[in-house]
Amino acid sequence: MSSKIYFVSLISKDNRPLYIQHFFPYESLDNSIDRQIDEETGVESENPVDKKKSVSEDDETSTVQDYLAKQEGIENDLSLLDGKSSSNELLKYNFLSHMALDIFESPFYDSEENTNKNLLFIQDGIAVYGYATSTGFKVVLGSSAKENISDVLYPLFRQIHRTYIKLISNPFYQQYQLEDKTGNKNGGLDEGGIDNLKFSESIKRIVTDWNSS
Amino acid sequence: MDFNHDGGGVRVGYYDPFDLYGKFSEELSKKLPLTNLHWKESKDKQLKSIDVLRLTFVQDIPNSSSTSSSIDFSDEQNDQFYHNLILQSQNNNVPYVQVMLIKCLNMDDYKSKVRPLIREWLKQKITGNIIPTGWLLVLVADGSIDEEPTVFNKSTNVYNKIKLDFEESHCIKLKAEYKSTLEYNENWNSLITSFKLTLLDSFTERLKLYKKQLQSLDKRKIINPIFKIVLQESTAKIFQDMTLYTESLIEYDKLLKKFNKLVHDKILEVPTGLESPDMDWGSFINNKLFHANLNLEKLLFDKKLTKFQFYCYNFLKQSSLLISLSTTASSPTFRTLHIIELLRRLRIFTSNLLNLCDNNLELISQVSEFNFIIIDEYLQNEAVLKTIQYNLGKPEIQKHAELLEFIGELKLCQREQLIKIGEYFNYKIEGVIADVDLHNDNISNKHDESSQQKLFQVTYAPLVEPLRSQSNFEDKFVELTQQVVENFNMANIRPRSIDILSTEIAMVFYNNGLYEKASNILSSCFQFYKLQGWDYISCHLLKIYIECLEKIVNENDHPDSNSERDEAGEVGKTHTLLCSYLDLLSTKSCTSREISLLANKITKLSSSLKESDAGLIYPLETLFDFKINKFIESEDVNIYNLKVTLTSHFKFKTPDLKVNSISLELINMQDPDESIILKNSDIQALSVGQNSNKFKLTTTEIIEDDFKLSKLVVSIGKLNLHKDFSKDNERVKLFPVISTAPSEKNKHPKNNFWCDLSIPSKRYLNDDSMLLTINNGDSALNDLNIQFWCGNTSSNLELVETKTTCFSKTDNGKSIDIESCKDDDGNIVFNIKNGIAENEVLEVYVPYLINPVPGSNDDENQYVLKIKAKLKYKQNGQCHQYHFKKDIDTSLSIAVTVQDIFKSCTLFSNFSIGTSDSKLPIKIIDVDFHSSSSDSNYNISTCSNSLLKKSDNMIAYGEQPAKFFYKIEKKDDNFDKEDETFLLTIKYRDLKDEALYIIKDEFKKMIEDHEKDNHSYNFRKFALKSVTLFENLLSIRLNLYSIEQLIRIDNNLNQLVDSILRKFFEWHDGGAKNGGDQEDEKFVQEFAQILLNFFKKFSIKNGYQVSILEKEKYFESLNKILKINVPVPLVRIIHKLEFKILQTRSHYIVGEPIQLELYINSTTSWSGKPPLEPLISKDDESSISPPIAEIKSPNPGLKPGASAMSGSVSPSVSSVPSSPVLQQKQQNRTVSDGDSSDLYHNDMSTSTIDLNAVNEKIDKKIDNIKKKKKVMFESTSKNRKKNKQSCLSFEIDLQISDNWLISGKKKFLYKVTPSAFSSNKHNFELEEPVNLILIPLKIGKIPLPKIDIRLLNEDEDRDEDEEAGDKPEGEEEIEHDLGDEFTMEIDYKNNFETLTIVSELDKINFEF
Repeated sequence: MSSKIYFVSLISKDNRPLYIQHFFPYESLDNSIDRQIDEETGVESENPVDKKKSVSEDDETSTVQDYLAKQEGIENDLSLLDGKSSSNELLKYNFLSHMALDIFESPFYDSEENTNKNLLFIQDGIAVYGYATSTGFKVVLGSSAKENISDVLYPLFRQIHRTYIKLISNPFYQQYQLEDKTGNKNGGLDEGGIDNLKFSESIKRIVTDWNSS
Repeated sequence: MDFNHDGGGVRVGYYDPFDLYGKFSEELSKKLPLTNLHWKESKDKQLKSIDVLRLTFVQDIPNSSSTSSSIDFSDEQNDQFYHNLILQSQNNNVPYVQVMLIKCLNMDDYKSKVRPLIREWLKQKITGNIIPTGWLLVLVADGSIDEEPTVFNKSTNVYNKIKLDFEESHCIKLKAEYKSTLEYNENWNSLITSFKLTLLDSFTERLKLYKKQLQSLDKRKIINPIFKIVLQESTAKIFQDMTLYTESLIEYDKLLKKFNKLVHDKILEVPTGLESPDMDWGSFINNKLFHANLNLEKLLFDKKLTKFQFYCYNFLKQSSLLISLSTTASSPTFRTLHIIELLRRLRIFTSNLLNLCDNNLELISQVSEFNFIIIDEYLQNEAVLKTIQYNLGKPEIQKHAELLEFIGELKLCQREQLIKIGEYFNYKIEGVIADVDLHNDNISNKHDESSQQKLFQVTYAPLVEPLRSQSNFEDKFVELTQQVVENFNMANIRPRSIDILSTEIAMVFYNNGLYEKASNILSSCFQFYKLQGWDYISCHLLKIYIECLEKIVNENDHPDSNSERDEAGEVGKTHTLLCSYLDLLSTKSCTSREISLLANKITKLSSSLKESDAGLIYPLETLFDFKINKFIESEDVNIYNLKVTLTSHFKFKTPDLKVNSISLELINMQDPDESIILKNSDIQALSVGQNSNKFKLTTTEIIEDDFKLSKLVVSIGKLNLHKDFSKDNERVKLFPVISTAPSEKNKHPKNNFWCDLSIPSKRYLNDDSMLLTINNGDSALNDLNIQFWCGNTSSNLELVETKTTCFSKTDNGKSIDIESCKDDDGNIVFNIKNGIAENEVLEVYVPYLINPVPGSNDDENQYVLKIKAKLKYKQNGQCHQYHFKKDIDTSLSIAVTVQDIFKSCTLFSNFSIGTSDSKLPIKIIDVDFHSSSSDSNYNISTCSNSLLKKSDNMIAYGEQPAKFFYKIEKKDDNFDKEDETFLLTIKYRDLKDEALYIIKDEFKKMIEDHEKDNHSYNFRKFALKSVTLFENLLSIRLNLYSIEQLIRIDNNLNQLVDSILRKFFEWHDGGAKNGGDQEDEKFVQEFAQILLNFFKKFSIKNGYQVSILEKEKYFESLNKILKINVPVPLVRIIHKLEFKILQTRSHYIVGEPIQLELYINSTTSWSGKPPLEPLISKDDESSISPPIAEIKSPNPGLKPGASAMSGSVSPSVSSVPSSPVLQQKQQNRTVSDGDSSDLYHNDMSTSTIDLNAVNEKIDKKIDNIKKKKKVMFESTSKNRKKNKQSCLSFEIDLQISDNWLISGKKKFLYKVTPSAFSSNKHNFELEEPVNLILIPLKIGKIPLPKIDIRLLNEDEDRDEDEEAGDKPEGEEEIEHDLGDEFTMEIDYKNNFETLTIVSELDKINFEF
């Protein structure tokens, strides 16, 4: 398959993003400024997936102020917008996933009819494909618009869906999810995003297998 | 572009060797186009209708040079076969139907000339073709051959002969002339029907052939792929010719798919065609007919076909079909549907074209321009425009929204094309969704290319201007975006896309420095996304919004900026910026760098706000988790604190925020106006990083009550992080802590200031006072103000300020001055100006009066005073407050009644002392009864005290009161102390107090023992509080304790411990149970076990044996003393009646008279009046006046009720001398429990002092007196008239009985005059005894006759018949005649004395 999957979004029935992961081509280029700072300050990354990468090799005692002091000489950039990294790409995928909801909610969208016609729209060279279950759970995939792969995407959607079902069927996961780190009871899976390392790895494996096939 | 169908109709070839076509076509044209054709591809397929089918007749003359003869039909698998097949179909030259027009003069002519022509024609045009073709032979017959065949000569008919030679179904005969119209129509209809059938057969056959060949080709791997494409297209064309556009569209889709597959599988190698130097973009764009005239087969065979051409060709074919469908649609909805499909395919088409570009920016730009143009073209197409206009006018049409959505989509596509062209010219819009296509990595060197000469030039006029400059480019971008938004808006669809597009417009504004405009759009965007859970987008937009605001604020701060700027707006922007920083911080998705930046920015901005600016309030909980320890503690003397922990949501090390102050407001749950603010004003660092921030909030005020959390405010400059608890109702119980907790500063606990309010253990009945015990802690204080409030609804508390006293308990009872004044609200404030030393204990006795509130709730327990005390003091110059409230039970556990008995001149008072609650026995320690005056007029003696001293266990149980009898004798009859009272002093103890004291003592010992092992402040805190909690929960067997000195409790121990803990958590807030840490929970479990073990000692099973050697000393602190002022009982007159038998014998004989003398002695010595002023006029006057005088001239500050009460029970309070009458009344009131009506019907000398009811009853009586006041004045005047008499008259009446016959005066008057008094002025007697003779009528011990004495007045004298009533001898009588005031006592000396009467035989018979 020449067309690679660029991103996968899982969206809850109430249209909240559960999980958004991008794969290509910036997946390996995950050395953003934030990570750099985290490493230099010796602080663990927020993302559990990145934890193992965030262990710094040296200068663990240096602080953010030190870092900023170092940076000050080089650039006096106090802007919160740090642009040209993978975050920009992730933002784009967020936008596309969000736009996809319009199509799902469109009165002209027929999920049954579209079982094998999952192309929702094409935007900026990215074909966005969607898959909605009868419970309102949605999977959105993005691929290159150069090739229409809607006919062959169904198994991939099913695989991702199955992985999600496995996750939510796990009673321990639900327990964890009901009470998040801040102690707030957020009332269910749909309220917060999926922050599960195993799930993330499963999705990555599925998509990587697809991309390499 | 020409979108119309090029053919104009189905091709029909005609061969007209006899020049018949002219007339034939003339007639035929009238019957065309063909209508209502119904076609079925095969039996199992659906029937399809063709409404109109146009025909195009073309002359097709057989040519002898045709190559058809060389075609090999036998081997269909041959490439040559397909080649020929394609060649035949290539030019659309093969008509679907071939028609040959013939005429014959006769049979010979037919055979010789016509038939060979037909055969040659058939050979060349029909049978010689691979492609099936229908054919018809049309015989135009003139009159010569127009003969009907006969039975005998069938062959003579030429037409029949033709039919025989060829197939009948292909032959039609037309006449040159018709006899009738009917015949004409019949003939021509037959021809048209044949045409239709032949045509439809031809369609079917051709489709069958193509499909069969396509299937065959699909199975063959090695074959020229062009065949597949051409055959597929031919199939599509057949449908198109049949005007079955939908089917044709499907075939074109198959064609596209086949093409893509062949190209993808590299079976067919086709160049994109874009990079070719021959590529003539102008021809594509400008030559509108180019695409329609494209010959696909030719290009394929010439190998000149490009992908670009193919896509264009395919799309144009499809678009023409869709437009045809639209124009021929039966309804507007279907029309719209086809246009929508056209627009959808257009969108995909443009995308496909872009995919051809292979990341070549120049090509991308060229294709983008092409796409831009083609979209414009289609949107301006007549059919599309008509449909749009139709739909715009009718939004109710179902497909209206979908159409607008696709128009929006195309506009969006145009915008995309614009951006791609813009990239070529280095125009860029940053930060938008349509930013650089991140995956096209090969789009490189574009910046390098920018330096080179541009090969691509925009030619499309509408795009030229926008691509002249970045500004124009952005304007066009915004314009297109707005058009998209407009279309989506009109469609009322794609709200999320609208939002994203709006933010993109904002981004353009931002990039152009239009920060105000950008911020206006973005102001609500991030909230919108946040609410929907799209935090990443929200966070990004918020950052842009912040950038905008920063720019705006910085511009305003710039000195060169407009000086006339709106300051309010400026502050608003700064606030918004500050809020936005906090919003961003609260998204929890910030990186460490961002958090650091934000922390600095927040500190800087909040501190830069001017003092005059309004503060900014921001919800605290969005940034910090907080935990408020709701158990109040004290670490410094008289300073209370709560601990608050703020924990950041972030996990990074970050700079701190400088906190100016943290305050927590608590609001009283009962009184919302009362609040306490705990504050920490030291500037501290608040880490927004991973650390928990612990703050200690302190207050110098302590108010004992239930409070709820109101708000927690963390002030950072002018920024207030605020948490409002108003909806949470989280409770905090505030109460004074007696000793401080050990801290770094004070390692050893110190005592705090604390107070207690109680009823003094020594109390005077009806002289109520409260005892406020002030325990000063380890800090000297001064200027102590005390105020009291009463929370009872049924009564008002009135303080008797003049009698308030204060003593220092620690300084040998030294009296301390108390000043009182009234505050602004009229409340009395007691003030102790003197300083109070460390650990000094003061006792303040506060006398009070309780006034009932009319119409108040009677259900309220009147004996429980809900007192709230507020104490203010200064400690080290700092003001402190201490509020506490307590419900004081003023009821007494003791009940006292008294019975007065007069014998001659001696009064015997029998006091009965018991318990007011039968379940709570009391121990009577000492009773004393003596005159309150040192120079008493009475001698009091008793033998009861000796009994009390002998027994140390005088316990009064519920129904077993203790009796104390006192004999009261007058020292002499000279009455010089009118107001002398006796004082009854009872020292007693509640057994429950004793038992509880022992239990508490044991508990404290247990605590001390435990503390030796575990130095736990927490334990002490729990334990000390538990003591106050369990005392009301214990159910102690007091009778058992009183008898066996064994303490047992009836409680279920587990339930008891549970109740204690539950009560404790009501105080503590449940912190340990809910949300408390594990350590707390563990401690609670341990403590519960300790409690359980402790109470096991007192369980029913075990019991606790008390072994105290010096009990009295041990329980001394529990002793209570009650003092009751008992007024001397007053009687106006006491009569002593005595029979004296003249001849006393041991027995008397029945029927024999017995002589007796009746002596009457009277005394007024207990009347409370001086001698010689006995009973009359002045007394009566004064007897009424005192209450009136009392009411009229009450003591200043005393209310009538108070004075009456004092007058009756505590004469010392009242300065008004009590008259005997009043005294009697008051005595009755005091000692009697009944209503006023009962006073005179019940035994007067037996009275009960219901101490608890006294106040209430007295108040009622006072009310009665007030009510009776007017009447009393009247009665006074009457009495005055009555009492003009100079003496008192009594009627003596001997009761007639069956026992005696009485001879002598049975009824006589007994007048008491002053002259009759003896020398001692109080006593008088009858001058002569009354002689009586009694004749016994019965034998046995017969009591002497009863005597009634009644007081007479004048009226009574006249009314002799008035009944005296049967009253038993020896009982007192009360005369009503002279009103309420007159009282007398009768002492029957012979009461119960009997005479033994025997029968005439002088014998005594005993009966058994």
